[in-house]
Amino acid sequence: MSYYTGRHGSLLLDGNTIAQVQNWSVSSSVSLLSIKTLAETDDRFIADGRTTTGSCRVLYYQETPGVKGSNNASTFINKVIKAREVGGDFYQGATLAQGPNGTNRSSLRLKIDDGTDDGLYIEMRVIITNITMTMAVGEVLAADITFQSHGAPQFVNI
Amino acid sequence: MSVYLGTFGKVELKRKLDGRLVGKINGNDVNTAEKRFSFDFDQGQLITGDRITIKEIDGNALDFISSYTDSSVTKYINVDEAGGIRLYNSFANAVNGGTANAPALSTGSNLNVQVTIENKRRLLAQVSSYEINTERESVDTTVLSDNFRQRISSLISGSGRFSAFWEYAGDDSSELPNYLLQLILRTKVGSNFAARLYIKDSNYNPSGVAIRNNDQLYYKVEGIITAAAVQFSPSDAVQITADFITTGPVELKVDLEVPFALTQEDGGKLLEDDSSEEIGIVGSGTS
Repeated sequence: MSYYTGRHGSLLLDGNTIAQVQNWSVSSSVSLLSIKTLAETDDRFIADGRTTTGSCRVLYYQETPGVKGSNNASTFINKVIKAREVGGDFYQGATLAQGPNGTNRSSLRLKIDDGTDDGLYIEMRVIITNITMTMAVGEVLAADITFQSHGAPQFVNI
Repeated sequence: MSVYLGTFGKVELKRKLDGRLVGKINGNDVNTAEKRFSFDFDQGQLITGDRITIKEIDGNALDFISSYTDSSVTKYINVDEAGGIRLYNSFANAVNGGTANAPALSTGSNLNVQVTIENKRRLLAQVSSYEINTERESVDTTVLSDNFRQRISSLISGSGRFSAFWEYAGDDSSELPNYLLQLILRTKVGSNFAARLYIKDSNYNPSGVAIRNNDQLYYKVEGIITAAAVQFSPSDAVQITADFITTGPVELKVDLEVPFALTQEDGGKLLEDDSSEEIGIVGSGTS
């Protein structure tokens, strides 16, 4: 019998393993519609839809001082927090695209290492919905990230 | 190897004030016959033996002291049970009180003043034991896939406890344990103090190495008294305990005996700006 702990976990963003991930979680909930009618005593439902969200916490670090590096918290942060783009006089925005090569969404794989080549995993197309970075006395700078799946997960092997 | 005994440890205390007191000296609160005056702030903020500096905020002369023309004065004080204050030139005179050594006062004008305290270090008498704890916090940086928990160093904090046999009088050169009980009751200006807690004092040398005779090793801390208690029961000596936490750096100072003494050209001691600390004198507590 095998149990899994944080030691067996990892997270891949756009195919690359992200370093210094402290935790990840995923939550999938199904919304229901009541089909209970008059004179019925007990609730009856049909499934209406499904929402899959999740979060992770990634420690912010630099392998080499002055070099942001890749496949770390910076990768997440730069998908959401962007400098405004050069544009017309009144354009002050920046693209909302988060995926590689200008695509809208990223690919996120939440993985459990079970000793096989691919391991156990849930892979989905996601939009990062929130990033919170907190600098505090006595704590390590980290990014708390929440994401939402676009559609059903692409691959589920768990 | 040697064994060091607690018998030769000591604690030195330096009175501190958290901030400053601002108030008034009203001319009609000066009793010239008793050489006593009072401030208009709450009693209990100033304690007998404090070395205070009174500064007139508007630059006026502190004319409640007879023939005094300066706007600032630094004196030791004796505080009576009604909050009346007498000024003195020495700690010993302040502790002993009375009118004999107090300067004459005169009924002057109303003065707006600020008061600060800056004392010299004094031996804390009657100490039966002390302890100081330093604690290093750590932050967990363990990440997914790690097999071993990772941690990095974070903040340092200190705390400790003085235990002493209670005494309130009879020594006009040392701090007495009753001061710690008074200190925690100061409401406006906190219970701050600075202290040196000696592990090895000069002239105590179990090592047998002659040159180590005057070495001093001590913790230097600033702290706040957070709890004070008196244990009072028949057939037992009355003892007090005072718990503290540190408010800044905790330093373990190592003052090794050196073959020279840093002095002025005339051989005089080097003093800090407020004349409260000697600098660079062997055995004087160089910091």
